Amino acid sequence: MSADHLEQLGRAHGFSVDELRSNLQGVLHPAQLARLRRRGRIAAIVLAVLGLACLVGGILGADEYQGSYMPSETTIREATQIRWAGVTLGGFFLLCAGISVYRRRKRNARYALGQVEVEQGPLHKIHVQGRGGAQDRYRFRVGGRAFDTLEAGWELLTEGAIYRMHCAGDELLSLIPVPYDLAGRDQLAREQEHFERTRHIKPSRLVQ
Amino acid sequence: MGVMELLQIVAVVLVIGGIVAGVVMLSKKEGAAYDAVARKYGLAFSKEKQGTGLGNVRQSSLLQGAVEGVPVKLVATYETRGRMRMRGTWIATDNPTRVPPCAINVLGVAPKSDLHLVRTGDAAFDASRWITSDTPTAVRFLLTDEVRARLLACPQTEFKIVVDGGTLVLSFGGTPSSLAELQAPLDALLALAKAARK
Repeated sequence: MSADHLEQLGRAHGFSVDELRSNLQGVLHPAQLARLRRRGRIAAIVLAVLGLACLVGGILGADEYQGSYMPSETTIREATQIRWAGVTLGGFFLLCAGISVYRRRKRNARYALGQVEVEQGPLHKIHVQGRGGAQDRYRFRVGGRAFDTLEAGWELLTEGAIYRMHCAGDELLSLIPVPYDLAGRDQLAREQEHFERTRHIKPSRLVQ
Repeated sequence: MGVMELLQIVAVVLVIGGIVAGVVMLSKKEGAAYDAVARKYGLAFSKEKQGTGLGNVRQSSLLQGAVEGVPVKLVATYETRGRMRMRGTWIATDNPTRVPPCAINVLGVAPKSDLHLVRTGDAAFDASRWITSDTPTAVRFLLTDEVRARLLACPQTEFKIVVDGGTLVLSFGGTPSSLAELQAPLDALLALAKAARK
């Protein structure tokens, strides 16, 4: 058991040892905060651009389709349909962009407080085999939260072992096996403490 | 109706008959294994079914009773949830000596990380099985010589042993379809119960 394992775990689950240390102290690392703030920005931009494109394209396209000199009734009707389709589609995308921006602002306000939520308990691994060409799913659950991960990260986790998981909203920040001690005390002391702390029972004769 | 058509019908009937006979034989073989184990250990065998064939189904085979004073309950379940199909078996007993809660994984292949890897010191066992657990003291306490030998004798290679409060559970993926697949894990659990009662 070494710091290498933590680095390996961090690489697989997207955090650094420094970030983990910050989370253990109950705060967000500046890099995590920046990463969290970036999330959803591209989606909002893409939705807004799509919305504007549909809106402008619909209106200008309808005008172009109708032409400027004596259009027939059919042409006018079709141009109106194109205009409405553009406005409806554009409005829908802009509404989605607005919701995305609103959610981001709300999330960012929460992140700005720097609070880290903690889940601690036995880790459960779930592997769902994909059928009919679907990809396999690798999930893990600690307490009431579950996250999807890649196979490489999933393989590093131990079923049933006690893990401490740091989260912000629905984002996983970092995780660490509980008996693991950065100060490097001996195994027996850690295990004894682990029994007492995580299960609220006195160590039995197993731990002398 | 020509001879060729008649032959085709006979072939189709034979194929369908073969499939049905295979399913029936497999079912009988499974039932026979449960009956044999129930008779040998003095356990009660029963079956439970929830749901119709139209929606989700949960079928369980249960063995329940006491073996030499050790309470045992085995539940082998086949379950469908949407497009998912799940098969799993667990065998539980009590934990009268209050062994601290722990989870021990018995693996048939080496884990990718050695963080929670626990070697038992038994060369024969360690050569073919890998134990992961965050409570190595519990591993050394529970995986006695007899338990290791019983686990090695099992056709299944992967197990999970969980002690949680008043229960000790041995579980594995799949449902037993032969006598060996049913009896060997049961023997392993009885050995575990013996180790927990030391």
